[in-house]
Amino acid sequence: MKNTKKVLIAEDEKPLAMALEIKLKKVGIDAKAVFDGSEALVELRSNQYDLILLDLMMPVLDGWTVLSEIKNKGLNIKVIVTSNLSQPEDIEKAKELGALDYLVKSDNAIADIANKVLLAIK
Amino acid sequence: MVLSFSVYAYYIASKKDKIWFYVYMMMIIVLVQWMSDMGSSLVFYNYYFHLSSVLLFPSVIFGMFIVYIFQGLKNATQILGVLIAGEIGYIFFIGVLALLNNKIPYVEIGLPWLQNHFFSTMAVILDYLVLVNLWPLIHTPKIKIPVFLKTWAILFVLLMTDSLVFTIGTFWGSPELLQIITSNVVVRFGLSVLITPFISIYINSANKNDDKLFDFYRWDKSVDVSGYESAIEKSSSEIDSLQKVKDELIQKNREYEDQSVAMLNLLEDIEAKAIELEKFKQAVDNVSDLVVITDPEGIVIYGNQAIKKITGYDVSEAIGKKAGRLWRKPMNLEYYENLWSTIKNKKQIFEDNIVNIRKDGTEYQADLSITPILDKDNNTMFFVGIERDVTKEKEIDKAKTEFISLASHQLRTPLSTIKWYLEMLIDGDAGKINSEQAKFLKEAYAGSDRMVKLVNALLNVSRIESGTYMVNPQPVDVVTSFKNIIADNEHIIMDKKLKINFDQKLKIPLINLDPNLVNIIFQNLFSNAVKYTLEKGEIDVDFKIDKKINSLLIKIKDNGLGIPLNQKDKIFTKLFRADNVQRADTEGTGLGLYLIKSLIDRSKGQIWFDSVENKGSTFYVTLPLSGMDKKDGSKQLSR
Repeated sequence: MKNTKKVLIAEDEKPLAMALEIKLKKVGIDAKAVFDGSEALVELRSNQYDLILLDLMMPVLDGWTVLSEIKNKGLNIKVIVTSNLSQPEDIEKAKELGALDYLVKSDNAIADIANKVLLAIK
Repeated sequence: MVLSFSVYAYYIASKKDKIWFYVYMMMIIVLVQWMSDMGSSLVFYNYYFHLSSVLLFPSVIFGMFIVYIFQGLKNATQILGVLIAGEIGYIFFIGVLALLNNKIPYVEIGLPWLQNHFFSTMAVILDYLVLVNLWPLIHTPKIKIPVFLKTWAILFVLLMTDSLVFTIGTFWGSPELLQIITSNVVVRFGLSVLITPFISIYINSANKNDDKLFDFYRWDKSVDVSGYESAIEKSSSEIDSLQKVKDELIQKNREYEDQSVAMLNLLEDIEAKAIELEKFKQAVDNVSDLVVITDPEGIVIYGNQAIKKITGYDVSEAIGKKAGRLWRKPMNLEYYENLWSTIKNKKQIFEDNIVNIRKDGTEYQADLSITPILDKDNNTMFFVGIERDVTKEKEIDKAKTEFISLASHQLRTPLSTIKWYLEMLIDGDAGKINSEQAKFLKEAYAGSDRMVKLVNALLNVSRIESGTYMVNPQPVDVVTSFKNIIADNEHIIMDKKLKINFDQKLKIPLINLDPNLVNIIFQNLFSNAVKYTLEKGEIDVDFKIDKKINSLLIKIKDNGLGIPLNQKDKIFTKLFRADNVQRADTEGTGLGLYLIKSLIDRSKGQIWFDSVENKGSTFYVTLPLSGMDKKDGSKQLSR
């Protein structure tokens, strides 16, 4: 499975992280979940990922910091923000920091999120 | 003859010709005297003819003639004139007679004729004096004697004095003196009794006419009559001018009275105004907002009680100081320069939310407004500054926003978990499920989805109510926007087999609207129509321009459930859902119409509807073609 795409899930809410991991794996993606921003940065440094599903409100380091780090360090990775913050100004800010998409978790079916990930890394 | 003269005198008296009345009166007296002389001559002098008595009559006529020439003389003086002229005439005739006969009468019986006539003249003057001095007594009510008796008494005294002076003077030394006096007294007494009734007639006549015919002047007074007249004239002119002065004074007095009334009214007004002003002062003193009045240089001249409460400074500490210095200046210098320039140079009201520092050094937030009060020449008279301490409000507002944001986030997380796992179960990610299980799971999924929408709607409502949402207008093609909304709802339209009629032919110009708000409005209107229309129903959409109100008019008509008549007035109320839609079990939050009405109202548009239950509803929305006003805010509304 050389062509298997790798996706990192940064989500502090474990049931959600698990659900995403299960769903992405179901559609054939090599998904791995981490539970705070700091772990996410460690993981990004040690492994190559095609995309990260990034929550914003996380302990230790929040998603904004991770997003800034990715942008500042020029890491070659696509970012889709998955957050329950739904305010347009947050969406705007995330996109300015390089997020490919911004998905409000409660408003999106998990299947739709998986489809969007697939589209992004195709 | 006495009778004829009396009648004539009466006639003259009735015509109120004083002069001729006196003349005829004197004629009567003279005639009476003549008759008495004649009588005594015949009785006592044995046919001796009293020549002087014969001449008396023409003498008086001559006197009358002289008086006639001097008509200017008046009253008593005139009578005296008649008598004196008569006497002069008498002397003249006797003189002429003496020259003709070379014989002087009386010579053989008494004193020379000159002596005789000296006394005759004296007697006449005495007659006059008696007449003018006693006659007024007739009208004196103090002497309570009948007028008739008074008249007789005066006549008798008059005739007697005349007779005594003349007779004694003329016949002094004559042996017949006593005889002559006695005869005269007897004759004159008889005559006085005889003529009294005639004289009384004139007096009564004069009294009836209320005339002053008999009101003779006394000698001394008669002399001054002309003086009196000029004095009277002078007095009357003085009276006139005094009257004028009096009139003026009355007028002035009236004016003063008017002025006094006006002053009293004014005082009452001023008092009422003062009470009113006092009320205002009390009100301003005690309002909860800080009120400061400064002079044009910003020196505080008034401060209300709220100063102490809000800033911690006493009113006395504030007065006389520069307003800005008192509060210190936590904002940057540029800010204060702009503030001062706005009120001082541009003479405009300055309004802002500002941070100030209290006496104890703590900060507070205030809604500040400073208004320059200008006179009619546009010069600043003073500035009125009002501050409302909004520190607490801001804190509460911030807490509320944070709470809603947090609550919505926190609510969404477990909702997302429920939704996703239900979804994965339905999709068979955890193994195959039977159709009944699938049905149950779908119900659970729909419920959780509805809860997500409710949270989203509540979040929007809180933003609208707190006014923190932003409006960022840009040109919007409303027709396309609506078509996108229809496309978003394609799934449910297909499910319900609805027919959407939106064949927009009229071109609608781009309008400056916030696309996000437009979408919220359209989404709610259209999803309502879709939700409450039964299967195979129809929805008509039409966009028009209402030129009268220069607005876009949107019409969305469905043939669905409609709104019950008795609930029409509640349809825009927050969380209200009509009975019929609750029974029909369609999903809905009861927030959609409340939300869009709030948005439309704030965009100077209108929303209303026609509806018949079970026939359908038509909603109308207007939005001004001038678009929405830009509004800064911390939050956007989410769809």
